Amino acid sequence: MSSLNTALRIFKKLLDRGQLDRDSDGDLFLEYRSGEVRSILAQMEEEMEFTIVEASSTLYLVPDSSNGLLGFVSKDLREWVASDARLLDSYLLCYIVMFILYLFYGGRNRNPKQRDYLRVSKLSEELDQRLGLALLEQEGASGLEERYGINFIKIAELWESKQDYEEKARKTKTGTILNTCRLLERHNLIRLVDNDREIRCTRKLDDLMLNHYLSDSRVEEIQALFEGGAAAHAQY
Amino acid sequence: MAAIDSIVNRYNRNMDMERLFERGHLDNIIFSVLVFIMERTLSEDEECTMDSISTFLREIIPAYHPDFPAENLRPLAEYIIKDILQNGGEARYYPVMKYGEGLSPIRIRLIDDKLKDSENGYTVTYQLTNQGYDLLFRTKEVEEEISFTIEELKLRELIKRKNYKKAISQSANLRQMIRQKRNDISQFIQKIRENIYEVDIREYENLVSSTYALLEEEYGTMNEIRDMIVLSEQRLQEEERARGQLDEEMKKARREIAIIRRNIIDTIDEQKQVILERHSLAQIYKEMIEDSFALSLARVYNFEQEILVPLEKCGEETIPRLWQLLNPLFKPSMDKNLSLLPLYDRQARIRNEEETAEGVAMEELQEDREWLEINRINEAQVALVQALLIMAGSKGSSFRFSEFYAYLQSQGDLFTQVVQGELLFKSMLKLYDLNSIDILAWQKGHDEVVANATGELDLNYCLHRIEFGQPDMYGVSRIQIKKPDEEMLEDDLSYSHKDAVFSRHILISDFLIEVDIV
Repeated sequence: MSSLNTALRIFKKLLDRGQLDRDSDGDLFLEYRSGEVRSILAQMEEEMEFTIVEASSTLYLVPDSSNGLLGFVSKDLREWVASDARLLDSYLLCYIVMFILYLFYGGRNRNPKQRDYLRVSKLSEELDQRLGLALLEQEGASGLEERYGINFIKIAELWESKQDYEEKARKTKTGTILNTCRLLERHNLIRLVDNDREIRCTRKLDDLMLNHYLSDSRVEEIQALFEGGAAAHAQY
Repeated sequence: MAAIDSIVNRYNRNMDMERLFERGHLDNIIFSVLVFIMERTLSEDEECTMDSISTFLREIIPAYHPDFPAENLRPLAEYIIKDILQNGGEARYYPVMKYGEGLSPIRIRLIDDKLKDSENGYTVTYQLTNQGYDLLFRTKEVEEEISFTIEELKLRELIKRKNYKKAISQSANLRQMIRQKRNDISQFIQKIRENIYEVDIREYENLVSSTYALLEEEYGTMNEIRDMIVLSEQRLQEEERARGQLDEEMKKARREIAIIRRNIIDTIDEQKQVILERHSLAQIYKEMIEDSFALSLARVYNFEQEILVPLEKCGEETIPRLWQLLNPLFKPSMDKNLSLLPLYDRQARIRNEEETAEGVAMEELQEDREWLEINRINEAQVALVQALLIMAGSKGSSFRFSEFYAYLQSQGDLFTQVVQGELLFKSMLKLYDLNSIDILAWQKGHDEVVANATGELDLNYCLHRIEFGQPDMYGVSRIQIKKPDEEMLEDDLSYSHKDAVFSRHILISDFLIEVDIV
């Protein structure tokens, strides 16, 4: 089989499942190490705006941040919350996702992963605390310099307006957290265990965070996103 | 000290639980649970789950608290495991002075857990870590490095002295120790695979060089012990031949020797496995080190500073782009772009209506306003089609659009809702264009697919919504919109919307609406 064929087979597998495992696709995994195959895939990476992340015994296809062709877009995010969800709801969802990642991988030690699991109740408390600070600032009681955007204060209010818990209710705090977790679960990033009371990271999330997402080579890209530099590629 | 500290000076204290016990009792119970986990970890076919720990607690708790409520056993097990021994999932560090290098934090983790996918969902099993073993064995004042040799020496001496009874427990000890080594290795392999950052090179070197050197040496010694056992058996056989039979004492010795031999053979087998596993361990470790070498050189950014704080300051123009933060983690989804299916997909889910929590009035972002406007139009269209069906159902025969218009005017809010943006008139023209609403045919053929995200009139969506609350569709089977003549409806219309007053002069065909009743 030519290198091009091999590269295409690897690409197809990655596109199909998002990852290629040494255990189930040992041959292709080894072929990836061949210089020629790698060079063909590198061209695909550049043209189609994705990166192949090699971690322990798995290869992952990671769309570039602004890649709306292979990745998720704002509409998908909002529809995940509800058909009538507002942009504000998707902002809150995104914040909760990032906050979960922060609680797991925000460590400043040699190993950034700072916890093995996270209880949903603990996450809810931490969110209360963090979003509560924004509300304090709005009331002018924090004594801190202004650090929150007006939209963030809106999501803090949205969070605060939710009830803590009510059986099967999606719009409570717990319901909102669980809905966010289900999205992550769907992408095989976390598992909800112990009757939905505990969040655990999958190996995929560990791999992607430790081998790609947290790398400081991504800082410019992240800053560009917040500063509007990625706007040209954005798909709303 | 660090390990003891993690138990005695535990964080996450739940005072309701702590108050149930007298001083020191809970510490004792925690150690007993650790020993229980160790025994479970070392046994071949038993797993340590939260259920088995609760069952164990049920056995031992009466010694501390005879009236301990049974319903608190499970919460107690969860408190001991999750809050104390696992520190609520958070890493716990203790500063340790290394002279010449200064204080450095070491992570304390006495137990580890594994997630298994079972038929009933995920099951979490617990096992002791190296630190856990270390703690338990050191409290027995046994040094790990020399313990194996000491236990072996004891066994030899016992066999020499023909103290077979003690030798049985001694040989069982040896077997348990070698199982512990095997567990160490499998835990270590798991740790390497999961997160190379958790692995210390010194830990690897200790495990590989010292332990294996010791094991290879001991492997030889254990063979010698097996020979001693064989010799003891031969002596017994000779004695039996010389005397013609064995007395009770000697029969007992023979049974005991058989058990010892089995334990020794098990130990030798396990030792052999451990020695073989070294090679795969070395291989895995080498590969992981190679894989992670490039990343070790890369630095990790400050997540809070680079992502959370900007997210908290985020401007309106950035919010629609936030999906970009998730893209590098989510599965690629080509389906939505390449597949034909999305064309037929409903574009909006039927809403799972729930009571909105009463809360603050929320200002909307620009995009939200558009979204809300589309929703308003959708609702108005459903209301319009519903009103048409109600009127058709109640009249049961043909009527003119002018009659329907008059009916709508009599409905107050409904009229305002449907005339905004000339929705009523545009929708009537669309219905005339469609010619008929064949409800019977729709009921036979429709599925749950509902598309209505654009704000344009979508009959399928409207009928679906109406049917949900009124399955008989007001008894109407078909409506036809016709223009039999040049009759016109003319009106000057005015309505207010968002503090503004709109005026329109309307001139539209006075359609004939024919009704078929079921």
